[in-house]
Amino acid sequence: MNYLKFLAKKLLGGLAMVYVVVTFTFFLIRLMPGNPVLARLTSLLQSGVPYQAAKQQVAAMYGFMPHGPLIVQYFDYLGQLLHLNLGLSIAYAGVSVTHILMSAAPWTIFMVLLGLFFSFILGVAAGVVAAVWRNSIIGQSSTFLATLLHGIPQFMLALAFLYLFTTEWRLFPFGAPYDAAIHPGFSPAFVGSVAYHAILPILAYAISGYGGWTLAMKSSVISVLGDEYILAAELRGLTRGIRIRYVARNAFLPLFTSLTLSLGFMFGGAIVIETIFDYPGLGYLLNNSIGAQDYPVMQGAFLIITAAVIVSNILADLLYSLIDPRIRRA
Amino acid sequence: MKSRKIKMIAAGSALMTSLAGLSAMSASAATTVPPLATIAQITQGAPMNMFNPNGLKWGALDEMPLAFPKNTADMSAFFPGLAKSWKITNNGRTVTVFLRPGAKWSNGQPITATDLVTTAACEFAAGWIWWDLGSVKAINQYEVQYTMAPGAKFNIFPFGVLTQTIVPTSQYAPLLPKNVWTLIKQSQYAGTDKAQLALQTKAQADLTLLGKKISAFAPKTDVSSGPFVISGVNPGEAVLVKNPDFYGAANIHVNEVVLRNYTSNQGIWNYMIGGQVNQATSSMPTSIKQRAAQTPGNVYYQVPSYYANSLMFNEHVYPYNVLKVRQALAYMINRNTVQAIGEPVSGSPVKYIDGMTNQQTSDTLTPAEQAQLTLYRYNPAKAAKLLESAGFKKVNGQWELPNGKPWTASLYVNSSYTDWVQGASVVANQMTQFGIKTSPVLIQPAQFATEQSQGKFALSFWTIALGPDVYWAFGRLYGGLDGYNMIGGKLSYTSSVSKGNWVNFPQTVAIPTYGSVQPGPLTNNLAEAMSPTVLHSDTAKLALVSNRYLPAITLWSGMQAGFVNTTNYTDFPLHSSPVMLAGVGFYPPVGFWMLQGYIRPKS
Repeated sequence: MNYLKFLAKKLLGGLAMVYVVVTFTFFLIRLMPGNPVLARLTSLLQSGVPYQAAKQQVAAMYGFMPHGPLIVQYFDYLGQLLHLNLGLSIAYAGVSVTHILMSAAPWTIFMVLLGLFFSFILGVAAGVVAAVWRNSIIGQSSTFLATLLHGIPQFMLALAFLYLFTTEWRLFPFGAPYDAAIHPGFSPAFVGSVAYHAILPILAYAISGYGGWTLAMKSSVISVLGDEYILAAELRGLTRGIRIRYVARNAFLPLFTSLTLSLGFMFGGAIVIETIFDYPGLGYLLNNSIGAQDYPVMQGAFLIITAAVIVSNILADLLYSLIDPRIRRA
Repeated sequence: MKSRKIKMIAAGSALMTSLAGLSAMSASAATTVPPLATIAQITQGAPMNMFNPNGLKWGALDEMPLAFPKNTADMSAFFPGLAKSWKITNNGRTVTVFLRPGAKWSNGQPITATDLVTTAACEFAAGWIWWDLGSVKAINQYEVQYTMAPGAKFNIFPFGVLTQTIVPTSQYAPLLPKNVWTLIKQSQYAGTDKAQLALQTKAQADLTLLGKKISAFAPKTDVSSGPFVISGVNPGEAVLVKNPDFYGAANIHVNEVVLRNYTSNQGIWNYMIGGQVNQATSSMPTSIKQRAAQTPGNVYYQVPSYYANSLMFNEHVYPYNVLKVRQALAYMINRNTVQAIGEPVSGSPVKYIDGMTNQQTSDTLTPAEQAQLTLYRYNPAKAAKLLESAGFKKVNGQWELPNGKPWTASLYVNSSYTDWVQGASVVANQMTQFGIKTSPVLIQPAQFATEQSQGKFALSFWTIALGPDVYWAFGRLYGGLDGYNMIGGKLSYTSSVSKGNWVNFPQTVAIPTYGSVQPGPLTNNLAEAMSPTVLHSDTAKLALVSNRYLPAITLWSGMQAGFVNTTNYTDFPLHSSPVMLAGVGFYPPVGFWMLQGYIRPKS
């Protein structure tokens, strides 16, 4: 009963937070200078189309000139949202925001999930090594590598990969999620093509995250190594392997929250990486929609990111009590 | 324990091998028959519909116009497209189009007069008719007559008719209501009868809704009238395969075309340097040109293009409404230096500041008319004298306005155009060194267009001299943005910034030889006049007005610069005429090149 109460409280809190963020982003986005529809009208006028024809063309494309009172637009938006309708895109005239987001989401989930998986697994393992053997060459090299990679900005790493592996040496493609000549489906050719096109973005994402996980795990392991129960285990004569497993499990706990939140942020995509590699996920979409001032797509993307982060936060709270018996008992 | 480890290692190795194998498979699939690759903008989720602003349709590849404009100063010169021939009668007010008998859509259906009538209806609804079409009549299966609207005057009406891209009736007719032509007729009413006006309002509203429906229409398959048809699209690339039903299929030597998406110049440069496209053009710095030239198979080319990047004034704002100020700036800006930094590879500094490109000036003005133009050669001393004569003072190296306040400026540029940004930095630097403290301000594209149209920029970068038609060139200076618009068939003027006039050029000015002239109506006359003598005289007047009164300072004319990659394909029209090389203005040009029999795979 207490657990259900706890869950309901969390969910209600989450919903309230979603509402606040939705409202905040709605008004924030509209405070941006510029007007996409007027920009289109101006662009038609600039290309020599007479004023009346340009106005008619814009009206035909967008069906509206977004200059109604803001508060009316806000309640209209909320009403549509309650019906799970995210509206129509401005930049991709006539295409529904849900369709656009849904076609971008799989690429982000695939790329970021794999990138996160590799960076986390390798980073955590390297962190244990760096902590346990911190006075050896292996441990110090591991720490040095992690520090170095952690210090390189993600965009620099991605640009370097792009230049080296797609331009200097044409080892990998970029600019598409798969070869368009291959029909999508569960065929070896399609799966191979998807994997081949995703290698660079995944690698860039994994390597840019690797250093952070390693350093966090190293610090956590070192702090656990100083605990008395580890000393006791050593005195009891437990093997080094068993002791490392004890240490790793306990040192992992602080990283768990970061990992869950990273999963939530996954829906924001890796804006920098997706944009640099022209990889068509949510981050790439969000970046383009900001440039085009496509309010509905921006709002849709922010809504997904917000909801995912809040849900992952709730999940982190719930799962933490499952993996750490001390929290459960408390 | 040991065996579990071995199994895990084996499984891991198998996974890596299979991934490597799959990658190799996909790579080898791509290299067995190398498709012809070029660049295009591909919008995620956009429909295969030319009426959509991001529609996945590409001219001369999977869609065809009736004819291809030659993109020269002669607006009546065309290459045939879906139209085999055409006849212009009634002093340019009637155009009769004769379709190619035997031309087919990629679904095997014939292309007929019905398709042309359907296209015109869709264009009316979507607001695409900018060329004063009055009526369309199918004379027979392959002959269609277009007539200009009664009372309208538009000397490039035939251009509007012939450059239409045709859509298939099989896909678009179901979108049109049965009374679509009644609605179009009602919407065109030009009288004062209240009942008819009420009908007009309703018809216009109905057509707007219809236009929205047409713009959003997402056909399930690509029905092409061109040499290729879409076989696959993803957000990053599109693959088009040869259309066996195309009327000129025998002349097409390429089986497959890949269009690679680009979102920035940087993306295009990567494709060029990597040799990943067989053709691409882009504005580029010298370092990129040199690096791309080293790629095996890459051959550089450039063709003239009709545009000039300019410093534009908003004369609603002091002191840019003072003629001597604009003239002083024209003398103090070193156009050679600005071009050398702004567009070093494919730009050339503008010789005459007259609202046109160098090419347009030499095409349209006689040597005597050119001799009347002031050259505004770099001369800071002359600039200083002009300012002093206008009451400005230079104190401690800084210019002050006549009221004693320091003169500072912001120069606004669209942040997405790298050549503008570079050029603006140089102009700002030159102004600062001259004593007018100037900062370049970078603005996002959508914000730039909006705020410029709202008159928020006193000084901004702007592309003018759009060609090849002189009406388009001068329309950028003295058309809608200077408050002149055709409303209800009449030229009307507003000086209001809120109604779109952010140029605010004087309505009447005096020029040598011709006396008092009105640039707005003169520009409109360039569209309406049918006599070449009148057109020439009006062009000369407008060039002189632009040169004397400087609504803008043209800085450099652009060229289209790019590379073709000849590793797998040969016979690009590199040594052909500039008209051919430019692909008659179609982008990407490879479709047009192939239509003319160019581009063959290397054996």
